[in-house]
Amino acid sequence: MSEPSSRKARLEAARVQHAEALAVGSGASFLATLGEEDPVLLMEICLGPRAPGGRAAVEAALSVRDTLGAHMSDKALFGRLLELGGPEAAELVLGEALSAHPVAPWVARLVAERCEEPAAVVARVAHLDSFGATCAALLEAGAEEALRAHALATGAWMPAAVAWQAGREPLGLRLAAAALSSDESDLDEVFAQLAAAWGPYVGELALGVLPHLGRAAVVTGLAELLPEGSAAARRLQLVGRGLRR
Amino acid sequence: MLPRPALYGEPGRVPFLGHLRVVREGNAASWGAAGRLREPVEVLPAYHLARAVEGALALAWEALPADADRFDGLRAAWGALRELHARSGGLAGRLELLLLGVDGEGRAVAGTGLARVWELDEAGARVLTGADHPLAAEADWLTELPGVLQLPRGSGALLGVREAHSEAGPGDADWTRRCGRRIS
Repeated sequence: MSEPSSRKARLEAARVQHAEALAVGSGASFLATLGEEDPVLLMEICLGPRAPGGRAAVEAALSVRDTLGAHMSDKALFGRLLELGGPEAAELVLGEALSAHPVAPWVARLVAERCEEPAAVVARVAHLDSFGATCAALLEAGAEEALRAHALATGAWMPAAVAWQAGREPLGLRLAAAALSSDESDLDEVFAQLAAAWGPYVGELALGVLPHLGRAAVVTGLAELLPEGSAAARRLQLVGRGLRR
Repeated sequence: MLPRPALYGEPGRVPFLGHLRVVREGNAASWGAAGRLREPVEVLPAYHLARAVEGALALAWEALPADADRFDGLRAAWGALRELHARSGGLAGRLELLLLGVDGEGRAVAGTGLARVWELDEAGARVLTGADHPLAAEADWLTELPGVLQLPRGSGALLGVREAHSEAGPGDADWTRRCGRRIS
């Protein structure tokens, strides 16, 4: 990398080089080298007032997040990257933010307010032991839609369990219905998990999710998991038959 | 008056893993059970076994004659559990159970794997059995009929508690939620 005499000239040269690197898909490589030579310049290039926007630029900046994060808080860093990336990079930035801080309220608020495709973002941390705490933070931040989207996409029961523990029964039932309706859902397993979170009144659980279910196969499948001949099982069988018509 | 047996859930995100609850109203008496299959249990087998226990108890109580009393229901329950154990195995030694029979004469309580039993009504919460009560013993219900605690008539709920909760007791107003959610 060249060594311009003045700071300003050096900054302008780096800006040009960065734009060229982004154009050929080597932005991350350029920034890695720049970060080793001049971390302050790296900050200016990636996050300054004239920093490039768009997904590619933000993706490159995220590749040097450790270096950037040494000079500013993650909250400010991810907030700036969200600004720069716009909607096209929101999922990427929020996914990184949630992975880095899975239970931080400020990340949960960003997901609630800025995320248009929340299922993929939440899925980034669903494997962690702290996922229940993530769900609790998202719930607290008002990210119900993110939790519902995740449950629907993956069949996850945890969002419903966390909602119930927070005393939000109706929301938990909607989240439970989303999990049961997921194409990825193993109905038996998911309902058993939901029951373990809800309590031993499994008929009431099934009747509680029923208004939120729209697929006959799910409704009749649930009926088969309930005590044979119980009032709840009979009700679900009836509704399931109606949905088939 | 329908029996109201209850057990607390465990701490954590799945407090009611392996929990069961069943109540049946007969002509002269009614019976109920609150139970839990002890860990280690996998979620799906625990769910199915809990439902199997509920089903076995319900069938046993439904098969009783119209004049069956509170004690008949408890005997029938232990018999049904023995049969279920013989059929599916894995039940004895894993079961925490509070059984309750109610008729016009009073209430009968039996159980296994519990540390204490509380009664809760408008007057508050009272311990019915201490740690030295036979009800707290690990009854070998496969080979002998467990003892019965007899109580006068009453409308209170009976809460079976394990060691971990014994000292805490049902001190908070939200104790029913700790026993499982209900919509109604």
